[in-house]
Amino acid sequence: MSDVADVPEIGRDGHRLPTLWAAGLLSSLGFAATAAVTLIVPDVVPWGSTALFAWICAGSALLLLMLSASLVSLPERFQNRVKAAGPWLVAIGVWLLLWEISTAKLGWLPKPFFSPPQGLLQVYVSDGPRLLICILYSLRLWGLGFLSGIAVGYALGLALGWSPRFSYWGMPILKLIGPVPASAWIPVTFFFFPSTFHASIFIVALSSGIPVAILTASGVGSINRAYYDVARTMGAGDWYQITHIAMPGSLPHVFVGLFMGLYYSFAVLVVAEMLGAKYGLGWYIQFQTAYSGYANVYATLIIMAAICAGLVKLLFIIRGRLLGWQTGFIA
Amino acid sequence: MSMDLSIRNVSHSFALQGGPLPVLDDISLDIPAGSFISLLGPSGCGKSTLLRFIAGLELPGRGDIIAGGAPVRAPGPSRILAFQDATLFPWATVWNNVATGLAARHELKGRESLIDDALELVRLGGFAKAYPHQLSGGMAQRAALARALVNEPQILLLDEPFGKLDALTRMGLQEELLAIWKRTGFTGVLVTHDVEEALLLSGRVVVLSDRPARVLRIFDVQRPLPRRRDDPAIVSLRIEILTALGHAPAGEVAA
Ligand SMILES: Nc1ncnc2c1ncn2[C@@H]1O[C@H](COP(=O)(O)OP(=O)(O)OP(=O)(O)O)[C@@H](O)[C@H]1O
Ligand SMILES: [Mg+2]
Repeated sequence: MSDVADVPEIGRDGHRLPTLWAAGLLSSLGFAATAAVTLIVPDVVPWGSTALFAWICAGSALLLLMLSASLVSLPERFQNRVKAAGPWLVAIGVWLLLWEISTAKLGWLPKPFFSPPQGLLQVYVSDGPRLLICILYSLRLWGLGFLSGIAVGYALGLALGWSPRFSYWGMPILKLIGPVPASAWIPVTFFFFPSTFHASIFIVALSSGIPVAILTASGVGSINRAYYDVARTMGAGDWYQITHIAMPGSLPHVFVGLFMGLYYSFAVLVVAEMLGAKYGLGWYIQFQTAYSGYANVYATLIIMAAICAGLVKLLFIIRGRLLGWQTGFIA
Repeated sequence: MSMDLSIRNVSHSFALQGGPLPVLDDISLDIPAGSFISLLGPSGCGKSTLLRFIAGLELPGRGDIIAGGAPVRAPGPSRILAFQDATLFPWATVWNNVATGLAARHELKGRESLIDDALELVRLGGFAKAYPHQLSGGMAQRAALARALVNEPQILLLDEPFGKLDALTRMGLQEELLAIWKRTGFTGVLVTHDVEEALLLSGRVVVLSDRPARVLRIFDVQRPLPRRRDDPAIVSLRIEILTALGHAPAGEVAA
């Protein structure tokens, strides 16, 4: 990977091709090499979608080549963002090449435990509609669970942070059940909930609600008492103090809880979909694991990771909007 | 619109790990409605604590505080305290900070111009939309002053309101404060470390002892307002007060 580290150097004193973006060129080369190897060297075992993968790589190589040639003429902001991604693009090109060679072409990493890139592509091509339905089912379960979990968790956290009496009884209980893994609740949920779908929602809600509750409570507790004094001396009642001091003041902590809840709820999605679900990414992963369809498992994990990353990004944007008042916060 | 204020035999000790910490020792003061007094005393003697009691944020261990004939049991908007630290809400704009009192009491609707006026008064008109972290220390203090004034309190408690300001801004705001006091006639209690400020603004200057604070001396300032710093009566009072506080410069004692 030493060529990655050299990229800026090449860019700086690239006197021969001053208008070309060096990292882009290098990554284009990586993708082109992957395409060539995929097309020319025969697979040890047939995987399907080999040609499609090769053409996608070739297309990416072409796009990157065009991008590196035209980058200087693009708007400055766009240029900077693309340049920042440069080392990653190079790394991905190299990674694809090594991956392709070690699996499909040489068979060092054998079927069924490993899959070449075209193996994953084949999953999307052949099982696409089913995966799409699974995505929608998982999003529905996750959305219902996460939203109800954080709503209840937030309300609970505010109450715990605000009322000493509520905190006296609630905090020890929350600390006791907080570390229990959500899956441990499955037997109980079967008893309490009318359907397995409701039980699944409850487990996702629990995993996202508990960190939000704990961090909201600690956020309210961490607010400088003087703010309440200021409001009280001006005749503010409890409701005003809750909505105008406790809620905004605890927000930085609440967002930490939301990020934790987001990760926990995703991790628990697979478990929640064990409860007799008919569709869903977690269900799909279990189903395919049972039949050694590891390529399908990997392909699904990539989808889950992408969705989770997208949601994290969204949460960051919301946080930037709401916490702009914080000192030194870069939105 | 003002209230008289009576502090009757107020004593207080804080409970610390090492035992009780006596802070106030039998303080009695009668402050007629519409008058303006200053409290002077060494750092840590209990001035802010006394203001918190008057505001009703806490109750003293012993003694009573009577405002407008009724004992003080809880905070209320007729007695507004401007804190020693600005303590602006960091999540609210300067405008919203100043509007806190009116908004909390559901009195803001239709009276938004009061907020703009108060900001103009402390020369923060251009910073209505700024957040507290974008203000300097002195600007934050001025915003806090506006936040207190906009409530038009009957008793205004000011805890070193000009502590972080440069001499010129300080003088300007002292004049503004005097003008507002003349116009609205609130009962004023000002805590300050600046003897001159106390003499320029107040009818009486109360000198407190080191902790636990007792009333050492009370000086009446019988000079018409506005006062001049170089007024001989003010100058000699200043030396007397500094002596009472125990740090008169050797050269000035003779005068
Ligand atoms: N909540 C509290 N608990 C315990 N001790 C306290 C508390 N508040 C104040 N004190 C103590 O009471 C004493 C007086 O404090 P106070 O803030 O009233 O002083 P001050 O006269 O305003 O001082 P300064 O001029 O420095 O502002 C100090 O020794 C302080 O440590
Ligand atoms: Mg003080």
